[in-house]
This record gives sequence, structure tokens and C-alpha cells, in this order.
Amino acid sequence: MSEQRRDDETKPDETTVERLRAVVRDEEPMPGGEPVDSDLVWRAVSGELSVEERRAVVARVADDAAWAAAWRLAKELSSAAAQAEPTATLAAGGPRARRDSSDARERRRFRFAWSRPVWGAVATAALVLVVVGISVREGPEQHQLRGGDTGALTSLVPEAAPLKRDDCVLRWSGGPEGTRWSVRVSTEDLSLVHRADSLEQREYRVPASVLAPLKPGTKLLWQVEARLPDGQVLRGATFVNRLE
Amino acid sequence: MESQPRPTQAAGPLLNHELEKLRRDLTRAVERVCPPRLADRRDDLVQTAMMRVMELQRREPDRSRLSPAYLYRVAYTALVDELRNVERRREVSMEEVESQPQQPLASGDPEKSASASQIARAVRDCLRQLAQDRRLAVTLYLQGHTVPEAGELLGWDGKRAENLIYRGLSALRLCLSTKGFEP
Repeated sequence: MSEQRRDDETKPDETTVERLRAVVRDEEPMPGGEPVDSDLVWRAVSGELSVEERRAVVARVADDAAWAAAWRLAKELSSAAAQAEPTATLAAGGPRARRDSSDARERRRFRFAWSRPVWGAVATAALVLVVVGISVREGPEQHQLRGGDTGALTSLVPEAAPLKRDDCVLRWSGGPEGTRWSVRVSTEDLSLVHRADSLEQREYRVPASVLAPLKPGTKLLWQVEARLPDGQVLRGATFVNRLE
Repeated sequence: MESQPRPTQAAGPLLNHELEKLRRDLTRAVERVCPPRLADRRDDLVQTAMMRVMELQRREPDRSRLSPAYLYRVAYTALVDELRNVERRREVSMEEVESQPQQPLASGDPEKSASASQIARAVRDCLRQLAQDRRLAVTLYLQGHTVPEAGELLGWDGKRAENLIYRGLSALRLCLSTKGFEP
């Protein structure tokens, strides 16, 4: 018996699921439950927390109807908030608005990507490392931060040399031929997040428009993910370079 | 609780039509999320959240900090706070009603209401009996997430999430049936 067939056998019908969802939605909160930490719930739903933290919040949702209601609200409104971004920026009009709209799309994409365990864990780890100022060993042409699950991926961008806004090329080495790459670029405060997928070359030129809003000297965190020819996915370390 | 999120980006304050969109989004969210017992409070909930947003827009000197994402989050926090207040007031009100047995206990169908409450308790009891991973996966599924969304939030690939959810639901139904409920 195949796995698919076993799943089909256990898959509940939609009517049953909707009935159960309605029951859960209508449940009254128990008096004296722990007050809902709305900020925590929002950050869990929007993928800002680590997987472990999210699981802890979901465990609370499983136990407490008030937390469950807060979760459903956050789910609805975080989604609506993401859709509201382009409307708001376009309302300002002009080229800036178009650029902001593009940025907003990137942020929305990041919101989704950020909730992926690999990206989330690595980026969180990278941010912590940067904030506490852990120094890293570096060579003249290569540098690497801890946090990846493969040491085979190394940056070919000298850390000392600032990245040019109009010619910001990220290069790296490692991975066999046929590997497809994804690159994510972000700032420390996550005001900027940019991602490119399905790259065939071991380099990526960050569009100048993406970097335009950033101040000189801004630290850029960038990380590479490799999809190997056999389907295995490996993540690289997170590298840090300053913008000129 | 007044834990306010920090603004995360500069996109300018909401314009009138954007505020209207926020109101529509809040209304829709409240309609979809709030249980029927709070149906008569939905307008109040939305209005309270909108007032919090308007007040913030009025007070914030640096209006460029009031991005839509930030204001939606503020509105959300206000909604959760107000939901808690409404439930608390409702608890007090119920206690007062219970102390006056001559008055009707509740509007609607008390039998149906009691039954729904029993089923909800049974569902939660059965959820607690599931293994941890199944409980988390089924919980998100019952909150309205799709299988891939649940997997992504919990850090599992789609296949694992699917197995946990479907088998967890199967176990949940079995548990409910032993309690005399057939969902």
C-alpha cells in the first residue's frame, strides 16, 4: 500500500473539517486563563518567531480558546496587512511609489519565506551573531559566519570592500555543477529583504533599486541556499557586507 | 496589556480610503473569527480598534512611521484587548444572571448552546490526548490553515504535515466518538 493511498484513506471530508472548525471557533474561553500575548501571537503568525517559539505559541493555542481566537484574528489581519502595503505606497504616486511597491512585494515574499524553518532559523541566528558582535575568522578573499549547515559554501566577496549600490554583485563558491541557487539579502532591522530564486550561476547582482533606500554603511546580510541536483537542499552561512 | 509593536518601515500614514479598507478588513476578520455569541458586539470591536488607530495617527509626530503594516498590527492588538474585555464583562454578566434564577438564562436555544459547549470541550480534551506533533498540526488545521501553511509554520515538510494532520484528525474523530460525539 502506498503512502499516498494511506493518506487518502485518512483524509477527512470537507464537511467534517468545517464542522470541527466551527466548533473550535465557537468555543468560549475558560475563565482565569493566561492573558493573551497579542504581540507574541502576531509575530508567530507572521513568521517572525523561530520555529521552536512558534510551536510553543501553537501549543498555547491548542490549550486555550482565547489564544486560539487571537491566532485566527492575527491570521486574517496579517494577511490583510500584507495586501494593504501596495495600496498605501501607490497612493503616494510617482516613481518612488513604484519602487516602494516593488519593495512591498519583496517584503511580502519575505514574510512567506521567513516562515520557512531554514531561512528563519538561519536569519535569526545571523542577526543574533551580528548584534552580539561575535567576530569571525576570515581570509583575505573569503569570509564566513557560522549558522549554515554546510561549510562548503563560501563567500567570494571581500568583507572589507564595501558593496557598490549600482554594481552589487554577490559571489560564492561551492556546490556541484547543476546546483540551483537562492539568495536572500536583508538588513539587520529587516527593513529590507530581497530574494532571488532558481539562479544557475554562483553569483547574483542585487538590483540598484533594491538598495536605493538604504543609508551608506548599512550592513547587508546575505545567505545562499543550494538545491543540489539530487534534490537535497543545503543552506550556506550568512555573510555580512557593508554597503558603500 | 498594552504591548505595542514597533513600526517596522516607513510608508506614510493611511489615507482616508486606506482607513476605509482597514475598517473593511477588520469587519471581515471579526465576522469570520468572532463566535456567534459575540455577534452583537462586532461593531463595537471594530470601532474600538479603529479609534485606537485614529488616536495613534493623531498623536504620532513622525507620521512616516505609521506604515499600514504597523497600523494593522495596532488594530489587531486593540481587537484582542477589546475581545478580552468583552468576554470578561460577559462573564460578570452571566454570573449576575445566574444569581437571579427567575430570569431566562440566555437568548436562543439553551439546549443547542449547551450541546455546542460540550462538543467544544470534548474536542479540546481529545486534542490534549494527541501526541504533541499531531496536536500542533491539527490545531493549526482547525484554526483554518491549509496543510502546507501548517507545515511551514511548524517547520515540517508538506508530507510530514499532511500525515500528522490527517492521522491526527482521524484520532480526534475516534476520540470524539468514544465520548458520544460524531462530528
